[in-house]
Amino acid sequence: MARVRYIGKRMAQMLFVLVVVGIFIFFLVRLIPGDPADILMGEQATEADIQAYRVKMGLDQPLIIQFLKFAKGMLHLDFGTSLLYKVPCMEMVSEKIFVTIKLTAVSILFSLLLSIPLGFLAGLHQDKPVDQISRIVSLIAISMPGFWVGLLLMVLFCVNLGWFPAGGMEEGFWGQLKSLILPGLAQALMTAALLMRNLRNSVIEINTKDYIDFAKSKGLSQRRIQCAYIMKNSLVSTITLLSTRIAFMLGGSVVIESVFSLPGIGKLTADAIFSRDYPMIQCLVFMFALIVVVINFVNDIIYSFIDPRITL
Amino acid sequence: MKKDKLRMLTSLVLCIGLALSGCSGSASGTTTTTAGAATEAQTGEPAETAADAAYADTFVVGLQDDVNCLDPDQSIGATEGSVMAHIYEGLVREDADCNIIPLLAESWEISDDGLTYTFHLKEGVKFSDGTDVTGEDWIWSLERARDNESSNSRSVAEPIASVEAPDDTTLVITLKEPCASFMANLCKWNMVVKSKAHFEEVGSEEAFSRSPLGTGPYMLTDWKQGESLSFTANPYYHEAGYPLTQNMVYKIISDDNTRLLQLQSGDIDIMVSAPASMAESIEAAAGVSLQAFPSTQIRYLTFNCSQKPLDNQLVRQALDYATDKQEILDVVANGYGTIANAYFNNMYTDFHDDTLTARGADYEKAKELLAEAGYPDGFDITMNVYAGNSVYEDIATCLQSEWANAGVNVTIEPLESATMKAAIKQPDGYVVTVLQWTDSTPDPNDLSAFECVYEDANQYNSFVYNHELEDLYYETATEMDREKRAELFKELQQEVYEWCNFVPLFQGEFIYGVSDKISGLSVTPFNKMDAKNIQKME
Repeated sequence: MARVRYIGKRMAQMLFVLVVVGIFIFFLVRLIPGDPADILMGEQATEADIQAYRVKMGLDQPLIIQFLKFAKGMLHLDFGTSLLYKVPCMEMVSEKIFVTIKLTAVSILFSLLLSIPLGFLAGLHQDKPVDQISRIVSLIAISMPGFWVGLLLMVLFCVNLGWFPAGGMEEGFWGQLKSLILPGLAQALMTAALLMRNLRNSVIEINTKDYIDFAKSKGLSQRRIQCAYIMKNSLVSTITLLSTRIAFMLGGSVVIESVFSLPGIGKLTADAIFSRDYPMIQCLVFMFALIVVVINFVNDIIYSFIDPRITL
Repeated sequence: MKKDKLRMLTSLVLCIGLALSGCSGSASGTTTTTAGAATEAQTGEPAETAADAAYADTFVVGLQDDVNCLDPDQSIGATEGSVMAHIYEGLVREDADCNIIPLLAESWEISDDGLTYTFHLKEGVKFSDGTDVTGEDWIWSLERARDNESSNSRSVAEPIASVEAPDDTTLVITLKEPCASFMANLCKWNMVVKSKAHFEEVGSEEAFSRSPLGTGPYMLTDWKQGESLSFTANPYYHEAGYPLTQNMVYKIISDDNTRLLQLQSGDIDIMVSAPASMAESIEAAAGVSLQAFPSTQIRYLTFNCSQKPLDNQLVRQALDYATDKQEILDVVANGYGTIANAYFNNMYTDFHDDTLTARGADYEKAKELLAEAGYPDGFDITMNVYAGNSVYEDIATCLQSEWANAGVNVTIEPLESATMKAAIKQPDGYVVTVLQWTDSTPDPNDLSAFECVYEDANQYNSFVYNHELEDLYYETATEMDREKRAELFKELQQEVYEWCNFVPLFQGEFIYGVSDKISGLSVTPFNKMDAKNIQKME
């Protein structure tokens, strides 16, 4: 019962956050210098033509009227027509968001595959060679910029070896997977390094706890201690870090998407901002906020199952 | 146990590696297969292509910018214009030397007063869905080009008073007043024939922009926004035997490095608009060569003449003396292009004033003029440029080091693109910057209007109203006699050269990276690729 009430309360909070974000972004984006009509009409258009376009798109109307129109649409998740693409914003976003979600999923998979084994080994064998090497490797991984890693991977695996397509998104399940492996890997490196270090520190800290000594004195095998006690406890903080990194990856995918020519929302966002496509920017920011809020919500639910001590 | 974990992990990685290496080999072939699948799905009469077994049925082009919309009467730029040229056609078009040649109109007469144009249209032209092109379609198309408020190209259709079609092969256009550039105006991307029936069928402007229907050599079969556009040959194309290749795919690859890598790996066959800095890499790459095409693109050093010290004509000319255009051409464009002294490009051979020479680099003369103007010790100035654009930033850096020799200290301040666009429209938004102009009609008129008509663009963003320029421009706009018009233009070029509200730097070239298997590529000076002659060897 308490859990159901908790979920209800969290959902109401979520809605409130989304509404505030919507209002905020409407006014914030109009504060940036640059006029969408000017930009869309291009360098070589005359003032008269630009003004006619402004009137047609309703950009010359008083701000409060534009806001009311926007607010009404937001309630139905209708963000209007993109100034740049001339199609409904939600249509374009829903087409492209899956590419970014898949890319993020592949990145998370790689991050976990790389960081969990290394993090555990490093933590359990503190200061031994394994630990030293993994710390150096993680430092290198954090320091390399994503787009550079991406280009290097592309040169090696696409041009020289021909194993993967050099950018673009192919059809079909295996085609999509093939197209996402290199970008996923490039994007995963920084997150893997951060997760690894966090997990390593977690493991070291937990190893010093009383209940580990108690378990050893009870006579439990090393393996059982590691799996049952150390792993579960150390993963809590790592999951928190992972969920913040997911939000970061979704927003920061623009660089990787540009390098690998993936049709995701990262690139869409960058293009919308540069052209001051107000309806599209509003739609995208709202969707980002929605995703982050949902992830946090799922996060909290997972916690309540993993660690019964975390009270609702 | 730790060993077990390590062993498990290693074997897992090896397994994945083995599985993926099994997917190799088909990497470069995949794009062709997907496009090939599109061919099989086509309905309609087969085009009469040269059924030569040695040639591929698809070629792939890597485009640098996304195509936002394919409706000629919306706000579009050169990228959309070049893609639409495959689908839509007009009465006439430009050739590689900027001459006007017939397209859907076989011949035409202009009345003596310059107000009535009579076109004799090609017979039997159809849209790519098989419907006939009627006089109604032409009337609707040209009126829409003139009246649709979403269009940023309305000015070329503005002189039209009325359009009539006495029969399906004759079109009569009446103008409001004589317009010397009207035949050139008809070459612009919006002066094409669109299907009125199709527009009514799709119902809205948005739908119309996603499903273009025209008479051109190719028709659009698939469009994934931001990713790719797929074309197949128009089965009803009015030139028998063309286009030579059945399918064409455009891939949007905005990162220059990635585009080059895809060209090298064979994923794309033609790389559009390579930056000049990549010229060496393209030439060094195996199986790929560089093709450079003359263009109408000129970079301009632009002055805000309402801001001190640029309000003094001597100062502006002094800065021209301190500018070494040859160095800029060599450093920024790797020598691909020619220096420009007259304000419009040299492809208009009878209008272009070849006698104008570059003032720079003459630092002594620059210092002399500055002293005369009251700045014997030079001055400080801030130059704003578009951020993230290496061409503009490199030009700014060159100017900075050149002008230092004349005592002028430049601080370069890049501005984000939209902020920059807003800044150049404000009288106090900037002091000096670098901009560019590329023609989209084979006539100096559009550029001249932008430079001389104060109401249009503040005389190329200079914010000081020079009435002589404007009056002289209006004379060129209505003078129908070509020789007299050439005289007027020569006078106008001299005036602009003296007034010096902007300094043309160099006229660039369009650089394309092309696979050695491709033949028949030609690009017009407006960066429109002529696709119907392209063939790719297997």
